[in-house]
Amino acid sequence: MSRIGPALHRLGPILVLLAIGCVIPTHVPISEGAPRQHRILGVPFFSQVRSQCGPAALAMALSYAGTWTEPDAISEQVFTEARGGSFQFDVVGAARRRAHVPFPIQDWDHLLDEVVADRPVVVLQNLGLFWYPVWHFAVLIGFDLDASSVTLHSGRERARTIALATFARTWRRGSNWGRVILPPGELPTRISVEAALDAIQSFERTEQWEAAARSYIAVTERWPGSAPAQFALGNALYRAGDSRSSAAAFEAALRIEPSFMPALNNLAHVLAESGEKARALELLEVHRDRPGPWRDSILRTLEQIAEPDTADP
Amino acid sequence: MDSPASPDLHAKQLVFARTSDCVYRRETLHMTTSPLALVRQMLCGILVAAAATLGPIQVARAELIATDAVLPSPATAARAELQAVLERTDVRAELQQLGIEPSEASARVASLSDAEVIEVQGRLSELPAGEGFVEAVAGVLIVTVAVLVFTDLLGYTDVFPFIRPLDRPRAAGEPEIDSEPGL
Repeated sequence: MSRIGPALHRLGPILVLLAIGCVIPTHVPISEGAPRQHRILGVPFFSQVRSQCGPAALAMALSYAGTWTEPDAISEQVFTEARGGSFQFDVVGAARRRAHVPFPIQDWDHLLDEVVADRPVVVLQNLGLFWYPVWHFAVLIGFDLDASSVTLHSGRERARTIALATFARTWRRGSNWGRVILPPGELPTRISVEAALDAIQSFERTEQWEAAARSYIAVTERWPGSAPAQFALGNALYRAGDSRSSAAAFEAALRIEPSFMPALNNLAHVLAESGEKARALELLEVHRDRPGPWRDSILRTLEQIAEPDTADP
Repeated sequence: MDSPASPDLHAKQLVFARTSDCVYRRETLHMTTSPLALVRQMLCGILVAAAATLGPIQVARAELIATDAVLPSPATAARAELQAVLERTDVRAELQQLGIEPSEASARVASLSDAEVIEVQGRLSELPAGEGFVEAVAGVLIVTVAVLVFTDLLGYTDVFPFIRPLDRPRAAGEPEIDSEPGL
């Protein structure tokens, strides 16, 4: 007794805090009717070397997505020695540099959805506490709601199964950050058209235009009524050097939204460059007096195409 | 078709056109030495340096309206672009300070969207850097280790992979977790 007393005394504040936390139950926000369990088979496992969980996690996701990548090959792009770890933005950037498009995980339902669709998810966890954070990247490869567990390729452990509640807490401390790393042309199971375009546009920074175009095509297929998707596709195709398809995409944008002036402006340029100057001018003339933020651009384009020397190559 | 070099050239000219009035102001500000003027001078300097080294920004072609000029609100796009130029340089410098090779730092920054660059700029020292468990525990006070072992056992944390939480996974039914304690 005399020994336990002081120990309890010291642990008291912690126990009180834990007790306060324990009495307020919350739920892992998962919708009814979702699959109860799934396990992705065949996700390659790379054991983490030193504190290189970032390169390891990304390498597993890339390798599974079809581009075999060893952690060593991307370590320089992902890992930051001075911080002894990997930043989230470097994980995302390195995926793009390897011609893959990272898409953000929206919520718990989406997280499990991607696993059910056989797509491993790179997650950021804080394994420690907010005053003593232990940041960690792992790859979610399975879950079992009936057993209240999830399975991760994590650190040095292949297919580590932990309690769902523990994962929920550590993932929440990592702000529920998760990314699916997809090859060009694939889209996540759940996403808004805006978020999809944003993710592909970010990928575009690496100037892989054909790959970006393939992803935009997927967006236009899932959201056939999106003029911005056709517009973004038109720009990517143009940069990829495919003027004809580019013009077709701008035309599609205008069919969906006839007053979408940026598409009109760009279509006129592409047509003029392909020798269809008369048609380009005709298009622009119809809209030259339409008020709005793009009026100046339209007038400038009109001027430029009308001038004989500047428009022709 | 334009020659392949022209869009790049044009993009640079665009930035220089924008920075030129800033360069001009720099001379007039030279007379006054208020802190604000100094800050503005420095900003101008960075902007000019950025324009000189970064090359093309998001100008798809001289005349084509770029995707990112349309998808966010067009009114703010131009300003955001200018801001992003500044912050790209900042983030690159921050990465170099962390020992990343200049060319690699540039490549890392180049693979990020404007929004991402703006988000991380100036925050590299506080941003999470995933490392895992092994090094994290080295050189820690014994008290902290004790607390982490304790919270690991309760399933609140997962620092030590060899520690399994005491409570077994809940029986079939609704997955329920307790809210986080204020630790």
